[in-house]
Amino acid sequence: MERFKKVIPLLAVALFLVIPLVDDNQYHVYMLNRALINCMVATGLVALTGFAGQMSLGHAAFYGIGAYATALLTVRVGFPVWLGIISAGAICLLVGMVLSLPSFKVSGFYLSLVTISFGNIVWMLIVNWHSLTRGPLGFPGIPSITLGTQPLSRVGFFYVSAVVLGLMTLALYRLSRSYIGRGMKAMSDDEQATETAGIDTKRMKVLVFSLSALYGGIAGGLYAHLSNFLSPESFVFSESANFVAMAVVGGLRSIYGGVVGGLVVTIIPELLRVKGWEIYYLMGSSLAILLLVIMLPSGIAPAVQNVYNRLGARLGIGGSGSGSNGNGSGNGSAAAVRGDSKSGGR
Amino acid sequence: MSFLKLNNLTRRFGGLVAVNDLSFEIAEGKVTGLIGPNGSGKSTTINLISGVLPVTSGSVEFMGHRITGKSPHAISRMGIARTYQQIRVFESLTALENVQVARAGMYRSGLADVLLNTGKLKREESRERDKARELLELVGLGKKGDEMPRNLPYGFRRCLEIARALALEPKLLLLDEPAAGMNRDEFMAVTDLILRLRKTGLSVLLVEHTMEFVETCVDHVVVLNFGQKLAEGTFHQIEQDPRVIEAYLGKEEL
Amino acid sequence: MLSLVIQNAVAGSAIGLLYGLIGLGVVLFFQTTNLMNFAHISSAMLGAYLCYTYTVMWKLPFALAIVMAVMSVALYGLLLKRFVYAPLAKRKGGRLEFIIATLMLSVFLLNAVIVVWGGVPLPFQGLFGSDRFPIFLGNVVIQYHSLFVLAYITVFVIALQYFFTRTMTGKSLRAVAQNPRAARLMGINVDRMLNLSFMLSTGVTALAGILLIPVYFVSLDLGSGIIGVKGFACAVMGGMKRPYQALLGGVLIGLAENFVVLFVSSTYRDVITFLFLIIFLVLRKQAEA
Ligand SMILES: Nc1ncnc2c1ncn2[C@@H]1O[C@H](COP(=O)(O)OP(=O)(O)OP(=O)(O)O)[C@@H](O)[C@H]1O
Ligand SMILES: [Mg+2]
Repeated sequence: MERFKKVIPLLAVALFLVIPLVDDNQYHVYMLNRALINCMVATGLVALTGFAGQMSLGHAAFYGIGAYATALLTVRVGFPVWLGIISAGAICLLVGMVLSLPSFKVSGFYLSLVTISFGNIVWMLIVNWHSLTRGPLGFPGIPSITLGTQPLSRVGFFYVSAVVLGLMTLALYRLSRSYIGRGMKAMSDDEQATETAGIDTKRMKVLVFSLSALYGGIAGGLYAHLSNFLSPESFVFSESANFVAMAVVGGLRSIYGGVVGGLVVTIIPELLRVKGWEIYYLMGSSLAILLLVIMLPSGIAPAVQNVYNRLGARLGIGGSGSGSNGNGSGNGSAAAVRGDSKSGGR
Repeated sequence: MSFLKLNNLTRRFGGLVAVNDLSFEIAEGKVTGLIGPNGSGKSTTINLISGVLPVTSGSVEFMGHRITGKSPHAISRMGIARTYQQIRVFESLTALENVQVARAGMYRSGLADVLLNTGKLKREESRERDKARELLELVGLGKKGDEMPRNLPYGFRRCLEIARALALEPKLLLLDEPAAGMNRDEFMAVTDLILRLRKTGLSVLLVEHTMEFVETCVDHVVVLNFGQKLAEGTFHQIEQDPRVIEAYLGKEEL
Repeated sequence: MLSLVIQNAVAGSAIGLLYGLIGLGVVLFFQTTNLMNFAHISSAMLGAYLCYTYTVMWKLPFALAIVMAVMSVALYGLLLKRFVYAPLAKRKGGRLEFIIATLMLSVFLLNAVIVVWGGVPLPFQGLFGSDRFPIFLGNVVIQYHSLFVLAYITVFVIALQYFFTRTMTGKSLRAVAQNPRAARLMGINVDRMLNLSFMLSTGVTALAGILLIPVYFVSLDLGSGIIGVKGFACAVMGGMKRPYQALLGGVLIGLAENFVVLFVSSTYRDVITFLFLIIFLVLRKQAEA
């Protein structure tokens, strides 16, 4: 019976994975690729903000550093693409470690101001450091990912990204169930009590900041090789806000929050991009996201999980037994933080 | 070498001297009581020992090592665990996970083991889960492992916090008013728990208001007043000390 | 050289006072709600655009247009409370949710402005005297704009001070800011005061936006994160609790910026401002977050 419960989510993932095979609209596939890349950044933010309680409104900076790093390394130094992306991740990991230092002293709103400032600084460097980035002119001629000698098609790129995102989600899943993840959640509840429970919260912060920076950097690297061209406006503050919006809309406290939110928030504007409505679609999509945050503050993923569990219980399969893995408790915790016990469904 | 030694410990908050040139020692394997009127600096003393607050001057020595200036987690791992006057359990973790958090120091597996989900990690996780269950059992929460703390009654939340402290396998346990706000049954349960802990040889520093509690549990008492040590001795010596009686008169029901 | 320094000091203080005014709005909001509104700077943008409409399109006198623009934005502040703050508070949304909701609101407002007014900056010259005829004091050039800002802010601060210390409503508002629970027990209608602080904080920011027009024109830049963060920076430098210190913080930032441009580089002006903010935040004495 437990196995049956797992079939439906797997089926949903499988259905999603065949989309590029049946839909041959290249733009659709491109947007799906963009969505997967956004999911990676949002998943990093789920780890950072949702699990460890550290706020970042500057993640577009890691996305940007990753993108320009691999662009420079592949175009100017001649690195192979895969090495460029890995280096991008590594560089961001180091920068993330540095950015974790202010969090030793600063939290909450003040930390969000620090990260916004960091994001703005990186953005202004991208705009003004012409010799490196060509500034507003943009950075052209970034190679695509190649498979053997053939450049990878957009459909191929989709599967590469899907695998990367899958690995990132798996890593987060394992982390969250381990003693490290418990320490992170404890830290977001009560930092001082976590310290007195024998956990080095500084180390925890360094770890989670560099992890989420790594995710952002790899996503940025992939983006550079997907679009073959970079320009500064992809890395402005509002993009950082958008990444956090994805994590919140998906569900900050859920492992799948980043994936769900990344897809939803990337796809919503596209759905509204109707002919003749071009000037309204950005307005409409930001309104839609605003409404989602207001109506569903703990996010879509936990809500879906709740409905699903309740349906399962009604049909007499599984139910919300204690045997189900970490998600069950992660789910309950989202309710605990926000105190909306009515969605407990027991 | 003394077990725990406070040397001229002082802590100011602006103009207020919350702890003033305080020195005393705690003997190993004993329950030491720390009593005093409201605002006399008991909690501040606990905060200074556990490293949660930086000291203004003075120092704390634990088993021959100076621990002043070390971070709270380092002090915890050296064997000093604590609870808070206002209960501070982790609200988004289950009762069992709350206890498990404090076992983090017992793992040999690193980040790589976690990401690869190695057998070593799985063995350690299951070992530590059992240990955490044992501790919940010890404090009388054996069946409540999967509950969220907010669904537990007050007394159980307090016991959960004690279990979390015990999970550090401390040599010294600092308890800040563990029985405050409890009903009769809960009170008896906590008294019983502390007496059982004492039997295992654990050293305890116990802040308490209730004299009945102090009388049953404590080997040695230190009395604070306005941040200074007023008196020290066995409960019966303290009880008859005129200065102590005066400090308490009209302020607290003895 | 000296005249250049004086000139920059005056210009820097003037623009700094405007950053400070935005920061003052942040403080007024934070005092009562303990939250930060990341759509805060949108009020400045709305104020400027509405003022443009009232003067240029409706041909109203400038002074009236300012008052009407500020009032309109204050009304928007009420809507913000009713449709964003209240529902989130009811669902026990945390601070992060409020940040995200207001961030999305700022994106929405930015796009709404594009729909209504278009994306190109609207010129609005001669508003505070023409830039071509500045005042000369010896070698020192002083823009009319700076004098206007000084005058407006002086009047504004006197009015605000009067409101907070002499009127019943102002005193109640301060009571709520200091201790909402005690204020409630004293019979103050806390919800009404909350409404008022939403209106005050958005209105004040709208005024700042209008006074910033000569620097940024009537443009989307007024709703951008950069000025917004500078406003937050002023508020933080003012300790988040003291409105007038935010003005002072603004002056410091304005001066620093002008001298960075004068002595270092104009390209990296904002980089230095933000670095300064990070360092300030980290070194700041730990206040309650
Ligand atoms: N963080 C702080 N900031 C400022 N003053 C403080 C702080 N913590 C404690 N104090 C002050 O220090 C003094 C001692 O406080 P403390 O909490 O140590 O007393 P206590 O003996 O534990 O009292 P109680 O019996 O009420 O728990 C009090 O006057 C208190 O107001
Ligand atoms: Mg106390």
